[in-house]
Amino acid sequence: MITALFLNLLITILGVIFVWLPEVKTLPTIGGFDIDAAFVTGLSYFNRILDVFWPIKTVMTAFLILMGYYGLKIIVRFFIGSRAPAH
Amino acid sequence: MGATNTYASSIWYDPDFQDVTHWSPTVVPQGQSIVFDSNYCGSYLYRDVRNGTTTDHAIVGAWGNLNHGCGHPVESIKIIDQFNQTLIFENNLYYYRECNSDNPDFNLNDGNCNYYNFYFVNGTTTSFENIRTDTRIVAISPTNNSIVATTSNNFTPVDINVDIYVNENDIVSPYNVQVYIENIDQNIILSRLASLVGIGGTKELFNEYATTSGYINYSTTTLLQAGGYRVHVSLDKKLYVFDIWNLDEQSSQFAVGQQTWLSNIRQNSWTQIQTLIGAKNATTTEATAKTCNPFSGSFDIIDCSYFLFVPDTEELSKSMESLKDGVLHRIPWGYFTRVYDILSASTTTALPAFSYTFDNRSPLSGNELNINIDDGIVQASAIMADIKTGDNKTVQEVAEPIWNVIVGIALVFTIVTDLMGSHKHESSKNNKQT
Repeated sequence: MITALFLNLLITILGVIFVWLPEVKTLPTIGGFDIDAAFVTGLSYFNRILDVFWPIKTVMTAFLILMGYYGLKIIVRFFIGSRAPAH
Repeated sequence: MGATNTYASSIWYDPDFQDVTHWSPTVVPQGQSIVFDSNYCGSYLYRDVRNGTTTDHAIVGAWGNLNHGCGHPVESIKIIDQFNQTLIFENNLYYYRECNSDNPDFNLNDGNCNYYNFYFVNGTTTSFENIRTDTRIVAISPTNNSIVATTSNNFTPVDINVDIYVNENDIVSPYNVQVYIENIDQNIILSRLASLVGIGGTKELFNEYATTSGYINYSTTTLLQAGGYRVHVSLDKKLYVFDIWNLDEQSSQFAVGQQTWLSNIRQNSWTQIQTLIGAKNATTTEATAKTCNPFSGSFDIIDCSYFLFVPDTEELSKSMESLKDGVLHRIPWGYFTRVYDILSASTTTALPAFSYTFDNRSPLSGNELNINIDDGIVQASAIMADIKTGDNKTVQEVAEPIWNVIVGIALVFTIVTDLMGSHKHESSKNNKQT
């Protein structure tokens, strides 16, 4: 409960700090091409194919985790610079 | 007369009427009689004859050694009705009471008596709230986490209903029960402060004293703009105008139109604080909170530490949702979050069908070629599902766990290699280059 309260406090503070920034609901449309709709449709087609070719699903999940790891690495490097691991 | 079933009364023990797991069976077929294996005296069976919100109960039977008094336990005493006949259960709600005295009165609120599970006959389970006799908040509407659909106007009329139950002992002079209901606008930061300058915030809906016992309903319709709100209800026992005991306090958060990230986070925090100070609801969380009280008799340092420092999964998930809505969806990083949302979605859409009509230049002129890839996928799925092992497992069921392990090991290897490689000294990196 204490951890959750601190977490909520942190989220509230962050939310208040960034409340002035516009919210992203969808990806932008560039030159009349709706990137968000195309991406969503493409992925839902892809998910349909994964129903049969299920081994790709696991690979996709692993890919997302790996991207998350690299993203985390970038954030850590941003905050602690050259002292970060995998620098 | 139908068959006779025998049940041990000990399995019914359930003092707070909350836990039905000890209660078996839940349904007695109509037309059967029951013999209770009871060692208690002065026990009575009641049939619920309430109509709507009235609280009348009829005594339809009794068991225990009524003729011999307490101290002479007997077994297998049949429940009898007032005419000394074996009771044939009708389709209704029943419960029974055990008292620790020879001559218990029939006051349902007698503190010397325990109330036990109740019994249905061919009935559906009714809310356990019906049996409780303590002063409490029974229900709040709109319910927690519900969404009220907006109308075409800026302001949506929202019906707010609060049901409370007041025990007759709580309104005996000079005590009374104060009912305080307010609606809190969740959209405004520091809404209470805002309300002071009249730009929104808290709106008091009811603030009055209960004058009668039993079920009482408070209802009103209020016009609300789209956003998050919370109905906060408090029942306080008062001595004249002084608060002497908070009998119950609950809140229900709802959204008109759509919930906001700030509403979510505030409700989460409120719930956590309420749990910490000990809400009146009989919940698992509250039971855990009691483990932190050294005087509660259930003090446990491990459970207490877990309760204090390990966040509840559901609330953590709500907090993360608020983080996403309030922070991660903001420009510019919100585009990455959106991409992640799309990538992690599991929605599927049938693949489109293609058709082509051959033109005059083709020997197949006028013929149409149809390609439906989705049909192929459906049929392929069916074929794969048909291939089964001896123990009726599909190829996917057998191979998927193995494949997951292989991919998992590859992932871990990639990450570990990356981390390990990061610790090479600059000199060794340079040596490699040369």
